[in-house]
Parts: sequence; C-alpha cells; structure tokens
Amino acid sequence: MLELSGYSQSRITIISYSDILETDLMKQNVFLQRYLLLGRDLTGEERTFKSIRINNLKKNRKLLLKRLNGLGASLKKIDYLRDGYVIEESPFSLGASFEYLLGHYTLQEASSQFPVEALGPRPGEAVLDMCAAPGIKTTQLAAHMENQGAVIAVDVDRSRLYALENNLERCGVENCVVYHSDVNELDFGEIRFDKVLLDAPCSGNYVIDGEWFEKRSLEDVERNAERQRGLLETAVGLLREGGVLSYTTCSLEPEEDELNVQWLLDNFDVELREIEGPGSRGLTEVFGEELDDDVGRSMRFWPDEMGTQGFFVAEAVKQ
Amino acid sequence: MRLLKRFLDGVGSSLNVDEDRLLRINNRRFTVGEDLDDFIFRWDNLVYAGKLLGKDRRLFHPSPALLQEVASEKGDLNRIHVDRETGWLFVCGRDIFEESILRKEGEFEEGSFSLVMLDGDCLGYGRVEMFQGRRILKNVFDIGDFLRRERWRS
Repeated sequence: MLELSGYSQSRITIISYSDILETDLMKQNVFLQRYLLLGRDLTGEERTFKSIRINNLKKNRKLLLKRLNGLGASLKKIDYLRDGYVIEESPFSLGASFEYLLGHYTLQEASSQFPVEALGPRPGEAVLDMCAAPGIKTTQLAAHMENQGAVIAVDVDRSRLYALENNLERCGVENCVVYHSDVNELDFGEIRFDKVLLDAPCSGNYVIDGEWFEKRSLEDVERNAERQRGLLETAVGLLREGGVLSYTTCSLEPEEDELNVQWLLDNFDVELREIEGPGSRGLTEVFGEELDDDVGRSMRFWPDEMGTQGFFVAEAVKQ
Repeated sequence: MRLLKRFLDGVGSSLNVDEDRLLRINNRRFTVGEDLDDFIFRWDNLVYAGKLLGKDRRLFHPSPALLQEVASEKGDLNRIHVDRETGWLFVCGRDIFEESILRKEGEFEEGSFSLVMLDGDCLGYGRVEMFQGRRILKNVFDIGDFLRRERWRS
C-alpha cells in the first residue's frame, strides 16, 4: 500500500476535490487582492495576443510581409515596437512555416520584445545576456546590433541552452558567444560590458499560464526576489561606468520588480534611466511602503491595459 | 577542414573559409569574427561561438547558415529549384522525385549532391540516387531539422 508522509489513508480522503478547488481559488484571490491594492482590478482571465518579431538579419521585411500576406496571414504592426507584428489571422501555423524555419521571423510575445527595444544595443557594443536561454532576446540583441560587436550569452541550464543554440543558428546570429555556467561563477577577468540584459528567472504571470495561480505561492515570490538580487549585484559588477543594465521580469509581483529596483538604488551607485514607452510607470508605493520617485522611471505592462502578458522593465546606468 | 572542403567540392562550391578564424567546439566547426576574440576565454564552459559551419562526423554535416552562404554563390553550383509543396515534403524529411523539380542547375547525376532551393532560400541538400529506375534526390539534411531537434529535446 502507498504510504504518504505518515498520514493514514482515511486522513487523506478528508481533503475533497471541492476543498482543493477552494484552495486554488483562495490563492488566486490572494494575488488578485494584491493587484487591487496596487491599483489594478484584474480578473485573472486576461490573455495576450500572438505576435511575431521580424528578423532584420534575414530577408527584406517588405518581401517577407508580402509573402506571408500572399499565404493568407494577416499581420498588423505593433506601433511601439520596431519589428513586432500582431498575428490577426493565419491559415497556417506560424511556428512551422518555411519562413520561420529559415529564421525570417521569430514567435515572440509583444511585451517581451520591449526590453531589448528600450535598451537599444548598437553595432560594435559588448552586451551580456545573463540568463539567456532559450535565446529569443539574444537573437533580438544580435539583430539590433546587426551582427556586429559581441553578445555574450550565459545560462546555467544546459537543456535550455540547446534551444538557444537552435535559435542562434536559425536566425543567422554570428556575433554571439555562449557559455554554460552560473553567471555568478563565471570569471570575466577585466572584461566589462556596455550593456547587460538581466531577464531574470521569475515567478511569471497568469496570462500565459492557465495554471499559474495553482502553482504559485508568495513564498515562491520571496525566494525568486532574493535570487534576483544576487543576479542584480553580479550585473552591476560586470558593467563599465556609464554602462546600462536592463532589469526585466515577466512577474507582476512588486517584490520581484519595484522593490528589487529600490534595493538596487539603495546598495549600488546607479541611476535609473527614464523608459519611454506605452506601459504604466513603475509603482512608487507598494503595499503602504513609499519608494524613491526614481523607481517610477521603470515601466510596467499590466495585462488589462496592454493586452499582453505582465512585464516589468527598469534600466540603471552605472555611475 | 578536409571534410568541410570535401563537402564544398561535392556541391561545386568555390567558397573560401578562412582557416585562421576557424574554431572547434567538440565536433562542431565555427567561424568567429574578430569582435569575439576577447570574449572566448573559458573553454570548459564554451558551447557556441560565431557562425556555425557544421559538424564533423564520418562526413561533414553543413549547417543551414553554410548551406545558405554556398547557395548564394554565383557560378556553377548543383542546385535544384522546387515549389512550396515539394519543398514542404522535403523539409518533412522526404526525398524528391526528378519530375517534381522545377529547374536544375549544375550536375544531377547519380552520386552527385545538390542543394534544394525555394525562392532563393536553401532548404537543405541531398544526394542523387536511383530508385525503381527513376532518379531521386535523397534527403540528406533539411531545415525541418530545427523542429525535429525541439521535439526530440522536449
């Protein structure tokens, strides 16, 4: 007979299916109540739209759009993104077309395209992508840099690095070096970077994961926030003076967003750069706690406002 | 390098690969631009750098990037041109019957290799073989490999 953690079978059967549902609903309500305290009346049912990013390392954009249009796909430009298009309609899977396999475009959610656009890496720069796998943003960095300069992509998870390598290969990236390592343990010697992208491992959000409320707890949020602070410290140490750190998460939880940015300001000689864009300003009051006004220079993508998944971006300049 | 050159000769390519910029990581061959020189410092953790040319096994297996570069060459390459329907069967791993080919360039004889082209893009390559008395292009590599790799890993 299966024994579970010292509980008798009769004890286990007391927990009914409706109890489990109730627990999940309670967890959902905890998060939704928190968002309400932050000023957003979210339903938990918000979903995003499908979008692509055209890869300017490959085919001529007009030609590609004409070709996709000719195949029956209806695409609409996203006005705040250089290369982003909403898929309004497509009679075929955009993740399995010749054009996708040839790297002419990539499937990338609209909000996740924004951090690299805001960071604006330029040809010739040295850019570190700290938690790079599966590499969608790595390919976006290379596209902005027109394959010139260097993108150093690091990730600790070897299995996810295979996807990154595939994406580099498919998208025609030629200016990237990839390391399999914990970025905190990689000795860069004297190397310092012009820009660092820290797309931090985070709690995610419910918009792209229908079971998110069931899986997540506030303890996860705290644990992730602590891990992110360790990565932020490493990121600042690897920037040159005047270099820019882009800190981004797909979490709506302020512990992983504004509160971590406040911690960054309190502990390092950095200034936040104003982010221009379509979302909401970063929060400067979180559950009754006042933050520096500068934290408002960061940006939030609320799902109900943007029609995208939740996203957060802050940019810090090292002094 | 010997296997790479053999592949290039096999498809009639005159592409020059700068040997000084070649980098080997396990059985994979890369070319690395000078911009990356300062950033290649930890060999034990290095998994990818620059442009992937392909893999050395018993034969050289070219990457899609190398195939596209070769296919873009002017000159007397072995190329066949196909429509989307035949091209899709090819990227699903199928072989191509001679009668499905829209246009041929260069050699198309038993034992020769040929690139498969769709609207200027290279979908892969194959070897000409005889099958039930008909000439076919036997699929050796195609870009559908990206999807197969993802499925295999997941």
